[in-house]
Amino acid sequence: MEQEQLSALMDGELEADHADRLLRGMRDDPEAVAMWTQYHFIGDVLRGEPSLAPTMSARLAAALAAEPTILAPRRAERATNTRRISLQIAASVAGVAVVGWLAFSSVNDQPKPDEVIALASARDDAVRDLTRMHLEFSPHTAMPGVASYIRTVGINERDRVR
Amino acid sequence: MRLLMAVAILLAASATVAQELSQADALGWLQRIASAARQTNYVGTFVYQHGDAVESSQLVHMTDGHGEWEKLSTLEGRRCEVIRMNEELRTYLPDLKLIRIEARFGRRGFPALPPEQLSGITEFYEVRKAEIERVAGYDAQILQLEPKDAYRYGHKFWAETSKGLLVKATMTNERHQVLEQFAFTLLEINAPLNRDLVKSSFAAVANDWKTVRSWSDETPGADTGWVVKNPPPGFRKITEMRRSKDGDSAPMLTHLVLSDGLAAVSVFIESVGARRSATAGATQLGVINIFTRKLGDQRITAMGEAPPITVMQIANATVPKTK
Repeated sequence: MEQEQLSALMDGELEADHADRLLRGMRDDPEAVAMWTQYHFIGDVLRGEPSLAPTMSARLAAALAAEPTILAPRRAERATNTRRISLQIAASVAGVAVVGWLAFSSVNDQPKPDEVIALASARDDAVRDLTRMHLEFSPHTAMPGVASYIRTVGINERDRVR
Repeated sequence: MRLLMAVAILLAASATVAQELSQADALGWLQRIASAARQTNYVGTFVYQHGDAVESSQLVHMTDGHGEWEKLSTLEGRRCEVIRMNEELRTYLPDLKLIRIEARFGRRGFPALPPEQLSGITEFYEVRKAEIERVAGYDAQILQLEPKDAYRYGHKFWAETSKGLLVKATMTNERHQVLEQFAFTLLEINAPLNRDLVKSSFAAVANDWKTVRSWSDETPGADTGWVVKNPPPGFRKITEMRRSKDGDSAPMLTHLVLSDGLAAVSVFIESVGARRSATAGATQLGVINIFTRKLGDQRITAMGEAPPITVMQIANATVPKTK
């Protein structure tokens, strides 16, 4: 499964028949399903949309338990145009994201959904300190020597402007 | 669908003129780039582009019989100088009247992994030698590193042909969008340099500035009690240590570093105790993706120049070692 295709599918950029084919293919490709799930989970968190209230996720999980092949659109509902398939994808995404979330939280027991908020603290000094420590280990093939430190210098500057 | 994919792969393969490199040749080029960065005397101006922002800075590197010196100075925006003298790194921030000193910088340049562990580099990247292009007046060999899975970004390196110095580099995501670009616009290789050129221009006025000194304890074979179980393919631990976060008085934290040879991901484990302010989730700082989660009263933060999925998986796979 090509990640590029998944990415395009996620952005609703694929033609209906292509998207349909891809979704069918994913049924037999657990790795692709896992990646798809994580893409969306990450996307949601990055966009700061942790709309996964516990009650909602429980309800959805129950509904999804009865529907094992959630990613494959039913034949009867086969989409005839891009717009319609996008809506189906959107519906799947909501479900898959929650499943991903549940799997994630049950395995690790942390964090709880209410703690999943996009880190507004990205520009906090705490995170910046960690970033500085990390840069020491950035491989020097990406930029020679200490040039990689420009990454945080630039960020500091942009913060100041804000 | 399989047939279609096979056809697509064949088409892609025939469309490119770049020559795929063997493991030995690929490693040879990367090692050449890394050693040129350490052994060449040069002074240059480079631009760093990330998103809409473009910043221009100066970089001086000098090595002689006594050691290695480096100086990075911003030319726009906030003034900042980063000076490296062998293993000591000093960051001068005149606006804050602050000097940060990292005592043991640069313990590990590339290759971050010993050669026998790096043997997987062509397993996870397709390394190709493409055409020669001019950058900052020098002929440069282009090397393309395409990731073979979703766990790493793509790279393109322009290595100056005589010494191998990296004169330009880009990092791209899975859709071939450029995430960051570094490029010299003005460069003098083998420049006649002296130590005055690698000293801080703030040295004379910085006597009364605040100094923050960080240190770390990276004893070989040290055991921090934490482990990353089943990291994404190709990522291996290159070091682990206990270190102070910001000066001696700050609480200690654990730092693990994983690398696939090209990308590095750090994992930090901090005790947050009863403080409920600790947040969890994903974020970005420049091209660095960050994922944080809580485990009991510990906060685990993974970050690196790698896709969000990679740092998230590494954060989630970090657990205390079972005794």
